[in-house]
Amino acid sequence: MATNPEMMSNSQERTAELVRRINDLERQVEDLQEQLPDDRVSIVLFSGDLDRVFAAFIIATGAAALGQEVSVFFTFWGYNAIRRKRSLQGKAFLEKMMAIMSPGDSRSLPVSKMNWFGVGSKMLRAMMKKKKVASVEELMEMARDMGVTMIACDMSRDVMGIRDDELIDGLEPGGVGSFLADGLKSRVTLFI
Amino acid sequence: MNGVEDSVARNTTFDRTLDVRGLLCPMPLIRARQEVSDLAVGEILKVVSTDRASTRDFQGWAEVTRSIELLDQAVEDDGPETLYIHYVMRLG
Repeated sequence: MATNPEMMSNSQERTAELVRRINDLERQVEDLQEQLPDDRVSIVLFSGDLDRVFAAFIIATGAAALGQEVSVFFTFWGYNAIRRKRSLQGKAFLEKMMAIMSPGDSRSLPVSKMNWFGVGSKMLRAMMKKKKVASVEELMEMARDMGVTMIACDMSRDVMGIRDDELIDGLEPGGVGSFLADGLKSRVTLFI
Repeated sequence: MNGVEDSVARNTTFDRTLDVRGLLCPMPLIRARQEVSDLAVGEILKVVSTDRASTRDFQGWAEVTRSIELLDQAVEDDGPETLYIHYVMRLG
């Protein structure tokens, strides 16, 4: 059958148009894929209350168990959860006051309700132990073993005069940029 | 505590320098953002900071935006201070 030159140029144009549209769509799909969240959970731990720290680490370890990449960003009172020991040496007056008024390590964290000068905190720990619930310290250890990234806000550390040797190992210094980079890629973002 | 190799001599060229020594989070990012918007596309800003958290923060900035590229980072000793240096190129 003889080919009609008009039909041929028509079908070439149509093919070219289709190729253009497919290229366009591929670009759009790529753009969209880039904007999809990763399997990632980002938590800001602002609080230094035992019950809240507990919640944060249950979620962190749970998310890690569910195959998520998890990061916990410690800031302000959250530093009380990652303090290994209290040190006063070489600190300015206000920094010393801050250290004295803060819990010396995670074992001395107060609870957010019914603390009663630490009685509430001890009660809660005893009740959890009785029910064989992991302690905050065990959960934090587990989180570390599961590859949870722990980032410590360097600005608040500097403001409060906390030194690296007072803190647990395995922390990375970061700021708002590193938290947001994690948060923007996450399926779940929490401020605790 | 950060993932940048120590280096003294780097070949990265730059068009402008921003000194944010002594400033803490979030100021290095904010000042760098302001400075970058004054650059022409393709120009490079060298940011000199004493904030060790800025290393991760600038990586985070580059990860979430298409308007800049982080070309290089360096850590240098400057007497009692450690300098954290970032080379940022404006893309759009």
